[in-house]
Formats: sequence, C-alpha cells, structure tokens
Amino acid sequence: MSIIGIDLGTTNSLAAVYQNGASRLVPNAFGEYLTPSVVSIDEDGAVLVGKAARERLITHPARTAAAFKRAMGTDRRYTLAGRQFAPEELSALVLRRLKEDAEAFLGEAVEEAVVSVPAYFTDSQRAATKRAGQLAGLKVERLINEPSAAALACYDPAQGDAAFLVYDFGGGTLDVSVVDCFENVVNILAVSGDNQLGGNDLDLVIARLYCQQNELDFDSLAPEQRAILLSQAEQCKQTLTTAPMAAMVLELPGLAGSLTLTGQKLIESAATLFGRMRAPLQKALKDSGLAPRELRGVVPVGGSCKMPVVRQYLSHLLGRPLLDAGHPDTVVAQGAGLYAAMKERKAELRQMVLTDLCPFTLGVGVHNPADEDNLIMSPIIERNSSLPTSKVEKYYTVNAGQTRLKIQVFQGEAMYCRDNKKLGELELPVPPGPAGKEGAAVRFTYDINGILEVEAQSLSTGKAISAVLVGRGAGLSDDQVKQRLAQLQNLKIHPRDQEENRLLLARGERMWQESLGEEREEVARILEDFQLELASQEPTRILRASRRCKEMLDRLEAGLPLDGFRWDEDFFDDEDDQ
Amino acid sequence: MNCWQILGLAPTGDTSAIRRAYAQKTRTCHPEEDPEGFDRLHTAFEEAMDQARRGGVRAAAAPEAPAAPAAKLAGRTGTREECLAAEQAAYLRWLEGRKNAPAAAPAADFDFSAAEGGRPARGQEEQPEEEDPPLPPAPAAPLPPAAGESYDFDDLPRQESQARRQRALLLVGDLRAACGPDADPWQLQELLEGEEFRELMHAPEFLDVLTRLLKKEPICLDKLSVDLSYAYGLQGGEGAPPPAPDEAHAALYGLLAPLWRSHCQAAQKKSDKEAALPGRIYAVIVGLTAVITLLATLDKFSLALRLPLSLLGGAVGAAAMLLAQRLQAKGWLPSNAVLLLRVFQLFFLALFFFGIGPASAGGLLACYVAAALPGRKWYFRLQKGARFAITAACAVLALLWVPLSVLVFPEASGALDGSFGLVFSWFALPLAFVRCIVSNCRYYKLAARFGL
Repeated sequence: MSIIGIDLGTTNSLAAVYQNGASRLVPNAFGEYLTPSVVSIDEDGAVLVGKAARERLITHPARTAAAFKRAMGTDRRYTLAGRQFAPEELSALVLRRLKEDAEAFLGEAVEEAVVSVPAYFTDSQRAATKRAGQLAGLKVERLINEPSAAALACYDPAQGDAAFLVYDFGGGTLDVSVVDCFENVVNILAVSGDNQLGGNDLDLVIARLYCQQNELDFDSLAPEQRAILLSQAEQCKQTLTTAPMAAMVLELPGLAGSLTLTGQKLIESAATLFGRMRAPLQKALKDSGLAPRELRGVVPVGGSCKMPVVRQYLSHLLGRPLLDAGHPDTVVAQGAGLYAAMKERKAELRQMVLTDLCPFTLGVGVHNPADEDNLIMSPIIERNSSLPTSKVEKYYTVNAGQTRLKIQVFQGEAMYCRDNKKLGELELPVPPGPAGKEGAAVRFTYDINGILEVEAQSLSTGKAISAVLVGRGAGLSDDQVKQRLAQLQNLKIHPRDQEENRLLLARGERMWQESLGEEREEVARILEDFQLELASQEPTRILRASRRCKEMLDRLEAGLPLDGFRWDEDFFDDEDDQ
Repeated sequence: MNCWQILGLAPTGDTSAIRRAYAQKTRTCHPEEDPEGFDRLHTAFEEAMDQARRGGVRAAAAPEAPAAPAAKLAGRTGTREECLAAEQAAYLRWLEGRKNAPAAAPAADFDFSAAEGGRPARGQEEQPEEEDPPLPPAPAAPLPPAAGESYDFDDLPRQESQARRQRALLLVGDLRAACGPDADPWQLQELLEGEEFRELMHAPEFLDVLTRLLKKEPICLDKLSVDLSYAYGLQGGEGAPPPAPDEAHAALYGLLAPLWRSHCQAAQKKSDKEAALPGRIYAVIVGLTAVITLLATLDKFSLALRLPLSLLGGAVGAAAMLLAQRLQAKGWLPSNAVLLLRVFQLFFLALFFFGIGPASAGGLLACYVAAALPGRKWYFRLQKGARFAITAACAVLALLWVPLSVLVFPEASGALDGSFGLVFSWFALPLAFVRCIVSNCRYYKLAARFGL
C-alpha cells in the first residue's frame, strides 16, 4: 500500500504517487491532473468537488466555496446552502476526492498521505490541515513545506551541487525558500513568505481596475457580479501569460464596459503587490546568508509564476536566470509524491535526505522585572532551525521560596509573549530555596512530523514532566473526529462517473449567465436537450449526448457558429437504427 | 565530541569537503530512522560550515572560486566568503533602497545588472506542457534575451509611492469627512484605530497629505490634534515633542505640538476644577437659598413696584451675561469669577421673571427654547426630510397659533401678566421657524465645505 503525496492548493489540488522510479501525477475523473479546490452543494443537496463546482462559482455563489485554504486554522465558517462548514471540512472533501482518484488510479486502497502546506503556515493552520486529512479518512502524519517539495522535485543529483531559490507564488500564498542541494542532500537554508498574498490578489486588482475605468463601484456590486468580474479578470490575467495584451469586455447589464491590459499596466496598478512580493525574498536571502551570485537560479513554482510579468520581476530582482523544472503547477505535487516515497523508505530513495525547517520561533515566557504582567519571550528553538531538532535551556526561580515553575510555551517572533501565540503551559514543582537557586532544564523537541514535545526537569530533584503541545491529534479527540466524519458522511456525494455530466450542466449554466441574446437561447436549448437525454438513464445515450453537448458548448465559447451542429434528425435516426 | 569529530573530518575551510562528509554520514543516521543522531550530525554540519565560512580555519582556505570580481564589486579584498557576505549586504541594501525610495529616486548604490555583466534572462518563453529535465546546467554567460516584450520595473518604487499616495488621499478624505458637521464621533475613532491608518501612518506620502489638510482646515486640526498626538506618541512629555525621524514627521509634529500642549493645560485645569467641585456646590446652594428668600420678600409688593424692578433686573442680568461671555472669550476671567457672575446673572433674571409674572415668564422661556433648539447637534443629525418637516411644522403652527390663542384664551388678554405671556408665545413659533431655516442654510454651507 503506497503513501500518496498531495498538493492541497488554494485554487487547484493534485495528487502524486511514486511509481517506477518517478513521481507520477494522478489523473482525476476527467483525465486531468489539476482538480480545482472548489466545493459546491447542488440543489438536491449533493456535494460537487472540482471543475463542476468551479463552474458553479458564478452561477451559485451562495452554494459554492473557493479559496478556503486561506481561512485554514481560523474560526471562519462557510455557509453553503444553509449548512455551516469549517475550512478544514471543505478541504477534507477535496482530499477525499483526490483519494478516490488515487485509488482508481492505483487500483488499491490509499490510507496515508503526505500533504504539502505553505512553509509559512502557522501551527494552527498546519493542525487544521492534518485535521482535514483525518476527516477525509487519510492518515496524515507528515506535512511537507511546499517550497521544500518543489526543491525536492527540482533537484537532480546528476547535475551536481547547486543552491537555488524556490519562489512559490500560488493562488493564495507566497513562499520563498533558499535551498542548498549537494550529494543527495536537499538542505533548506531559509524560509520566508506571506500567507495572505497570491494570484487572487492580482485578479482583484484587475477587477478593481476594470471598475475604475468603467465607473463602477466594486464594493457595492452583488456577489454574483463580483464573481463574474473576478473570473473574467482571472481569464484576462491568464491570457497575459501568452499574449502581450489582453482585453476584458463584458456586455452584461450593470457590468458593461471594457478594459485592455498589458503587462506594464498591470505592474503599474499592482505596484503595492509587487512590493509585497519582494519583501519575503529579501528576508529569506538574508536568513540564508547566501549572496545572489551563489544561487544557480530561481525556481518559479505555482500558477502565478507562469505570468511573464512575475517571472521577469524575479529575474530582475535577483539577476539570476529562471530555472524551469517541470510545470510550475505540478512540481509541488511531484515533490510531495517523492517525499511520500522517502517516508516509506523506498529503496531507490534511501540515500535521499531532506532537511526541512521550523518556520517560526518556539520559546517560553520569562519574568520581566520592569513589568510583571508582560512576559518576555525566551526563544528555545529559533526560526529556521532545521528539523528534527532538540534544544535545552535552563531557567531559574525568581522569588525566594518559590515552589512551582510555570512554563508557558509560545510561538512567534515578537519580543513580548502577549503578541505571540500561546501553545500551552506546564507546571513543575521545585523545592523551596533562595531565588535563582532552584531551576529547571526545559527541552523542546520538534520532530519531522511537526510535533513539539516539551520536557521540563528540575535541576536539583531530577523530577521531570513532559507534554506534547503541538501537532498530535491536532486538537480533536477520536470521538469528535468520528462525529464530524459522520456528519460529512451524511452528505450525498456525486459518484465519480457522473462528474462529467454535472460539469457540463454547471458550465452551461455559467455560459447562460455570461451571455446575452441569441447565444443565451442557444445555450438554453442545448442544456434542455441534454437534460432530456440525461433523464433517459441509458448510459450509451447519455454518453453520446454528453459528447455532443460538450462539443457544442466548446464551439459556442470559442465564438464559432453552431450551423449543422443541432440536435438534428440524424442524431435521432442513429437511435432508431439501434 | 566537537563538530569535526562527528563529521569524521580534520578541521578544514573547504566547504565542499564538509558537505561530502555530511552527506556520507547521513546514510547512517537518516532523519526518518535516527532523528536524534541526525540532529547531532546536522548541528555539527552547521557549526563546521559556519566556522569554514567565517574563515576560522584558514589553513586550507579553499581556492575554489576567483575572489577578484567579487572583491572588486564590494570594493574590498578578503576571502571569498567575506566578499560574498559583503555582496549580500550590498544587495540587501539595494533592495531596501528600492522599497523605501521616494518618488523616482534611482536605485543608486548597487547596480545589479553591471555585476552580472548584462541583463539576465528576460521573458523566457513559456512552455508549460513541456517536461524539461530538472535544473538545466547553469549558463556560463547570461542567457540571451529571448524574443518577446520586456517590462520596465524601474518605475516600481514610484508607482508604489503613487499607490500609497492614492490610499493616503482616500484616508485623509475620510478623516476630513469624519471631522464634518454631521459625522458620528466614533467614525473618527474607527478610522484612527483602523488597519489602513496603522499601515499608512508613517508613509511619507500620507504625512504630506495629512499635514496639508491640517494646515488648510483649522477645524480638522482642532478635532484631530489630540487623537493624532496619541497615535504618533507625542504624549511623552508636556515639554519638547520627541525628535521626529524625518522631515515629513517633523512638519506634522510641529503642527500638533502647540495644540497638544494647550490640550494638556486644559486637561490640567479641568482636573483642578474637579478637585474644587464640592466647595462650589456648597456656594451654589447658599446662593439659591438667598434668591428664594429675596423673591419671597418681594412678593408682598404691588405690581407697580414689581414691574420697574423686574425690568431693571432683566437689563442688569442681560448685561451681566454679555459681559461674562466677553470676558470669558478673552480669557480674562478666572473660572471662579465666572461662576460668581453667573449666579449674579441668574439672580437678576429670576427677578425679571418674577416681575412679569409666571405666564409671561413661561412665554419667554418658550421663545428661548424655540429659538435655541433647532441649532443644536441633534438637529444636524436628522435626515434631510425630517429637518424640512420640522421647518414646515413650525411655519404652519405659527400661522395657526396666533388666531387660535385669542379664541382659546379670551380672558388672558384681560390681565397684564396673561397678555404678556400670550404675546411672547406668539413670537416663539416664528422664531423657531427662522432658526430652522438658518440652521438648514448653515448645514449646506458646512456640507459643501467638507465635501459631503
């Protein structure tokens, strides 16, 4: 039974598995590798995941959720068709779909996965990701940082030693890692990032630009209209990756207008975003201690790095060439697949070592003589320490006759504990004595599974206590998991083989909404006929109809005439022949 | 065991030898199998690399790369590691410079393209479907610029500054509106505690726009000075303001400091006054008792005596009120004296009301209230429709009341007291009507001024 690697992205998710010496991507029901991370609930209460759900983003914004990865680890709840969903539950639905795809691909049950997360995910976001895996029925013991996965996929031992910078700019998050590769070792030197910056922000900038030029007020638009604008903006942005100029023309009432966009114009209107793209790069490079000249190049990863504007900006900033290692969309998943195989200790990868980093500082609060209520953070494991790691620090009593030491564990970079996140606390009894005589050795052990174990040992009596504070169980007891699993199980999920038809219907609805006049009637006719065919419940008939429907929608969307492409008589004649 | 022993290596400055040894050792303690051993090994590796980099082990300084270009670049000589460190520092400075460059300042101190001997790869063609072999060999020379347009990033700092300026303009516009006549008090608070303000507060563009607004609109300066002083941390002492980090800050601090000082003084006075409050309450009680006793005595006199007395009292009271206001506005009166004058004025006004009788006093009060109310704050908070409804109601009531009152109170005109009251009450409604109209006009004038 193999472990699969999953790239759970903001916009798209993928799965990969190590087979025959290479990491291979798992195709979904449509034979594609990318499954959009979108969940929708249709009118009969069944759950749609992926492409079909994405089409419904425009037609049914109230029943569809996207980009929920950005809300992972927060208390935000998405309301879909009157039901509340936590971000991890939505992620679990996506993970479950990927798991099914992988099972269909491998022909065996899949029970364990390595999931990639942005390096800059905080601990609660990581815990939420693990929880999502649990809810999807997957054992997720190990998370891998996305840029580390990308580095792993990019590294080819045959090419010799190299240091490079992985710039992972996805739909919703930005991660930068500096990696040093040599002799089968992939050593992450520094990690930095911005987990609230992504390609979606560029879409928003384009949509706002459109509104500004056509005298609309983006903030006062209805959610449906905003969704249309954003999806058009995304298309416009994607056109810019291949063409020097893109146009965005809408004729819908209330949104009518046009916008032509060039790369230079995008740079001008998104100047602030470009500034935010630079800051993490700077920090990572500084932490790594490498000069830009020592880097072999920049590895662009993530969908947003496909944009020529972003690519040029990167080479402009660093003055290093871009290294294209595989497709920017899939390289993370491939790395995750490789890492899953490394975790399994497959023979081909036995030699391979990946040293990952702890992206944040872990420490305890210590007494502040100037302000008693305001504890100072005393770091034990500093940010960018490589994992696994174990560090000890000694702490002493402040008052004479003190009988207990309260060890409060914090995570974060701020000087005062109140600005950092509290992970938990321990109390160690110590024998009373003069101030500063009694003390404890506090050991933090952070392993590659992202589990933090805190152990405190009294210096004089040798009495020790320990606690696991981060990671394990991810904050849910078994009962809770079972209960929430049962809740999710209650949801009707469309069978995998019907996905395609659902997608066609959803896509048709979206086209109906985006078009006007004759084209709209055309779409309505196609959909109506297709639904009639679906009602027949004969698989062969449905298959034929769906092919036909897809062709016609394709033609319509490409702006081609439908002449001779009717549900014409010869179609039904065929039926009669049978 | 020191780090060299763990790595099984003699101390060396050759980083590639350290890496090789480390890679060899990871075979025996892989992180998946022996996390503790790996932790030890990795710590040793980092320490060894650090020592080698710092040139602590000079014995076998690695002759692996020509130091010349880097040294020339950073303008110093030394080991390769030192040169690279200097280069990184210079590069980071350069990046930092781009970030904080004010409008159109050229990135000066580090010309990156020169360091690389030409622009690196630009606009590489995108071939998403093609499965490249990972990591193509590093090109010795910069890649030839591929066909395709290239973008200009040199303007970015300026554009960023422009974007910030636009946000600053929006925020300052909001602040200005929040100082306007019908803004809610918490609107200002919300803006000043908001994310946007916190993000922009130290941006030179924002400071510039804000300073200009404060100079142009004294009302805004009045309203904002205290909150802004708190936001920028001017409250440290009442003496000199803290040193400003740059010119833009200095301009703002210069504007805020005098107002902040006067605010501090006013607060000081207020707290002094509060400390003296019990004594004053006592004084007022004594004063009121005296007034009531006096009025009770006067009540025994006839109307012929009362009327001139009351007219005299009213005149003196009004004069005292005007005098007190004048003196107070000039700041010549200490607060205790103002209170005394007020008591004095109250006394004479009471005398006046007593003289003309309760009905006429009531009518007069009605006049006062009708004239004063529509100018108060609540009136400005009303919707436009409500304001006009009140104005119209005043007009209609005024027209109805004069004839109606004669019908309702025929006997009132018989007595002197009653007829006075009636006459005064005739004036109340027209006064209110006029006041409404004046207030409406003022509202629009203010609104136009604050761009609402």
